[in-house]
Amino acid sequence: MTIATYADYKKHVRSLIVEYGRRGLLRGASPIVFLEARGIPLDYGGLIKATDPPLKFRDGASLRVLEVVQVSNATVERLRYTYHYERANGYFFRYEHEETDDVVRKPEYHMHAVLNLPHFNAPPVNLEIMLQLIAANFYSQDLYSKQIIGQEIHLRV
Amino acid sequence: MTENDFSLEERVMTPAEVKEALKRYERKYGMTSEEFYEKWRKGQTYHVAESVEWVSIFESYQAMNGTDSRNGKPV
Repeated sequence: MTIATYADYKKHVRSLIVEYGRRGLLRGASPIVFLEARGIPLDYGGLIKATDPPLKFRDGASLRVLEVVQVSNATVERLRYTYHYERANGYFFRYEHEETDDVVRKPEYHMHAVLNLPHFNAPPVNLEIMLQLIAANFYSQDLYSKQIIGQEIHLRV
Repeated sequence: MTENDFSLEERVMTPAEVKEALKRYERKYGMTSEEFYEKWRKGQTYHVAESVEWVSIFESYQAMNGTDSRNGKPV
């Protein structure tokens, strides 16, 4: 869909989540909450979050979502985001975008895997990419997913 | 609705919910939102997994209340 306004963007987020719900990946009541964001006029953007509770997957995993978004001139800017996917057993990874003064230890776009540190440099992502990534890796019936699910990690850094 | 049914709810977060969310972070990490915000600006909150959530909601709280910690004065 074409996203020209913040209202369009909110519809886009809604339709993405509904799509994965209809596909049977999500279960239960998924709440999306909207809030004004500092410095962004209400009609042009705001804070979108699904964290309390997070989106819940059929196998007990969860996805915490928060975005601070601005839409102007038909351009979507995700000024900040965090997408935290966590398996029921505690394994997690999290993609984030936030301001930083230390581009080596904390790149502006980064990800965490298993531990909160370090901040690994990562490409920009969005909710659509995150849901695709999660579905392909953890909810496919192919050999690739089967080689991921059930793996155990015992390690000390 | 059974456990496996899916539904999507949407709403605007109320000021009371914003305050409660901040209190939850404060209890969990043992510092006020103002203390956390200062530490985050100095890059001292690497241990806080929910730092992006906390800082963003705190800034929204400030916007709702007409204050801005970027200069510490009412806007």
